[in-house]
Amino acid sequence: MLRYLFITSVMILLYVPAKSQDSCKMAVKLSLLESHTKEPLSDVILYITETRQNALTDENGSVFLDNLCPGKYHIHIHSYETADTTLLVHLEKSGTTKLFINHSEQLLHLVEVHDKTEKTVIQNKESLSATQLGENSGKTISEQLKNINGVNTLSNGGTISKPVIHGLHSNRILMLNNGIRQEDQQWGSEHAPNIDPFIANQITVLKGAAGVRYGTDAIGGVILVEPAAVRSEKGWGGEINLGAFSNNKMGVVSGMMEHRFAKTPEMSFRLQASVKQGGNYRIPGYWIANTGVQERNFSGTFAYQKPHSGAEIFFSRFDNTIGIYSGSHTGSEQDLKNAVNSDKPLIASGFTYKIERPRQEVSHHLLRVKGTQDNRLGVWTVLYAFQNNFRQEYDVLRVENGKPQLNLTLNTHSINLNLDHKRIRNLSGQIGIDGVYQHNTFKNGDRIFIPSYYAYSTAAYAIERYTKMAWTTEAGVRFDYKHFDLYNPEGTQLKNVRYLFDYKNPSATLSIKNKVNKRMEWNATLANAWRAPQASELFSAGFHQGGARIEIGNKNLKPEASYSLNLGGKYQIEDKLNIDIALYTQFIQNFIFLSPGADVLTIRGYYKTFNYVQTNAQLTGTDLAISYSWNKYFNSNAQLSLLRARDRNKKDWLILMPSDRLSTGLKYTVDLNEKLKDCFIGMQGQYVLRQTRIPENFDQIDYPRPPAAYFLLNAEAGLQFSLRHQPVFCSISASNLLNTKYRDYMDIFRYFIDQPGTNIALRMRVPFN
Amino acid sequence: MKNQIIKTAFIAIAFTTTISACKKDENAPIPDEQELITTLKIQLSNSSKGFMKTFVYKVENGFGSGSGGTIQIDTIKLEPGVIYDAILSVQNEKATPAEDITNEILEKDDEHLFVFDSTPSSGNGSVAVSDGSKDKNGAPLNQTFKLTTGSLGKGKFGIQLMHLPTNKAGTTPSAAGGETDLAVNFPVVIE
Repeated sequence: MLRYLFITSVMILLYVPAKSQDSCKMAVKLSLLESHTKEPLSDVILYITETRQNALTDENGSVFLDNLCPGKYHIHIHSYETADTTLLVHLEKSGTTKLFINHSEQLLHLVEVHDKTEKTVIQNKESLSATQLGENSGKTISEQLKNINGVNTLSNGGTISKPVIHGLHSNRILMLNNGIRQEDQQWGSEHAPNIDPFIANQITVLKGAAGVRYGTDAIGGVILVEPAAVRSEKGWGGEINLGAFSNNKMGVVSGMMEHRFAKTPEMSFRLQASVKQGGNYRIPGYWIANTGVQERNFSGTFAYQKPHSGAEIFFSRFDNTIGIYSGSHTGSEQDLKNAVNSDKPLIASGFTYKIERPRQEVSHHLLRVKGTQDNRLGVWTVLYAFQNNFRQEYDVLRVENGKPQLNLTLNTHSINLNLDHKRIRNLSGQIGIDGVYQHNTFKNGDRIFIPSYYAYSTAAYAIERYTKMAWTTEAGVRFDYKHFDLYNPEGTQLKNVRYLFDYKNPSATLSIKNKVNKRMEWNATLANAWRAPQASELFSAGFHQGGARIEIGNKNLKPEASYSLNLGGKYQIEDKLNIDIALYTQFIQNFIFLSPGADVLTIRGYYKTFNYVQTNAQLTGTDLAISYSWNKYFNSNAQLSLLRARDRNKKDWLILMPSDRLSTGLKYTVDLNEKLKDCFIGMQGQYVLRQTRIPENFDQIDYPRPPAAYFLLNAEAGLQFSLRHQPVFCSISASNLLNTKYRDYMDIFRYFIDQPGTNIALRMRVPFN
Repeated sequence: MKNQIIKTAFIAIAFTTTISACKKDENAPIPDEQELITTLKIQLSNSSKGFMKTFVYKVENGFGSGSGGTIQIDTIKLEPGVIYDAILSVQNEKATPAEDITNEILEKDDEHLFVFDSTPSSGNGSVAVSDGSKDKNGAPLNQTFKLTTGSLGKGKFGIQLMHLPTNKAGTTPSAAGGETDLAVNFPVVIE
């Protein structure tokens, strides 16, 4: 029964020099291809002896290895019932290395599928690499994600923003921080994700519904924030990042150190911390009062790795204080009109780092424990996580009492058990179960915001992938059960009334991927996902300060169900041309949104009310990205993103959807000499159209009309040099270079103030070993 | 092989049901409406005419609720061409006992300002405000003032309380700036 893996040749055919080349910071992509058919070999486990690292080839037959030193590496193909097969590879520089292996038809039968918790499904996706994250360090995670075509932000001025994928945001997007779902997105659109971007080594965005693998709510997409694997060589390593930003005089410092023990090389750890302090930010002509930000984060990882098993403990704390421009809090419709009709900010200010009321103080703690073990079935992974989200809001008071007016706590325990089963002929896949327990609460006497609740959910899923020649098919099913036990304060005495909700839903996905030839591939995904209404949509009954309106929940809301079709195409001429196109259409049944209702009399006059209602929505769009290298030095790129969002029931446009936009850039890269490498200078222009596709009754429900189109110019330059054998990366960048005065439709502050003006950033990164 | 799957699945399901079975919190927290204002009272008097009356404008749920609750809006009935002494008081009548917020306003009088408007602005059914009280810095507060009635007719008298006004000399909400804490409109009958 033994079938042997037969490797005849290893050829290193090609390498492309890439950015970082400091001694032990090589980033290598290994591509495993069958030598006769040139087919990529996916789902093959490679074990690198020198670094004690397991890696699984993706659907392109590739694995990515970071932080390698130049040298010889033994690459095992570890498989059940056979001796390990070893290849010896010389890796000298960063870049792509193609490994061609010849194997019998039965090869894949024997190869064991290994750890792939972060391995993604077939879907349109785009990543920000460590290099791109470095070039944007110091920005919030949402601002960094803007660099991905099809991703925008929904913001509250220059300090709070959250990502929008294909028109959907907040609770319709899942963010996975190191594999754990970030639960703070339950808290509405003015709550930014509490993730320290310095943790990430790569951020991947799955565009479109991906609920089967990642759970309910992933209607719009999934954002995976992935830290680097722990240090592979023995000894110490680390990195220091410094950043300075001109607009709000912000300073950012981040440090990381890691170690693998010499005597017990199975053990390694990493500690990381970052600090950020910024003051009031500036729009063209004016400072914006009380918009400072302070952030203190740290994280620690401890890992124990053996070839067939491993354990990892990760802990992180995110802690920030954000000032809120008090001019955005309006007491009445008249206040809002005054603010809208004023050309300049109604609250005059100078520069200060001091943060007054109103402000948010937010903390997020995460503890994550992961264990993996191989056996005859495949690889088992157990993942337990506890997270605590805490938000305090300090409102402007008549008489200062030193206390916050809201103390919101969300505690979540979650457990996931996943089996990546061994490949059975051409079939690979994973099955798993999820369990989540959640408690949302506040303090007695707090301002009314979200009712307290307990939520319990369980789920089971299976995703199987069938690969033959150039075709890959993937199918997944999932079943979720969610139970809400909610206590809503009602009546003049605000007595708690208990409500129980149960939601049960199956979901499914089907994908096909075809590599037409060396240069061209396409994929298609049919997916279905769902989302239970959140507590605020069910029970909110109060004033929304930003919009000067009263929002009224609806406890009869049904879950949203999404059915989507995504098509993706890729055309690539290596080192020359890259074309990426994505077409999508998504039908969302019971789409929840706010619709204007009757006026209500308050002690501050008559108010507009908005009720949570449901309709059937259809979102259709395109993302197109082209990158072309003219020669060794010049590269240009262009992106286009279009979206049409319809209310199918009313045959009308949906409100608050991103407008069409396009951007283009040019970058010149050169190695000046041995000491000055990777010198670059680049420029990027972005044009955002006015959103003209708005509901017919827009003037009755919102004012003023969406802001005008705008053009922004950004520039950047950087280089790498050696200081006492330590590589040092330096860069300077400028956003909104022309200090353009503009407002953005997806910014809630568009009623009150312009977008931030020019921001010049200086960055320095020093890795050490 | 199968046993192992079943075993692990069982453990995980047992775990989730255990945490689901945790005791319910029967005493879920109860929120409170912060700094609620439900009522504005205006006391008008004229000693030579022996007149003293208090008119009430009350919205039971104050502000921030999906509905107003019980509403009481008195009509201010006055004689033409008379000067009345006016005193404003602000209350939260949802609290028991009712909370008098006027003292808080007087304590932070530099952070508050009452502004007024009359429809029509002059003539039949109009009222005019003068001699408003000052804050600790000598800037307008207007918690007490003199109200002069116009000629016979019907009109409206608007009163707004601005919190943290940006311009204390402002006589309209937009000129004064800040956040509106209170905005009421009394019907006026001059007969």
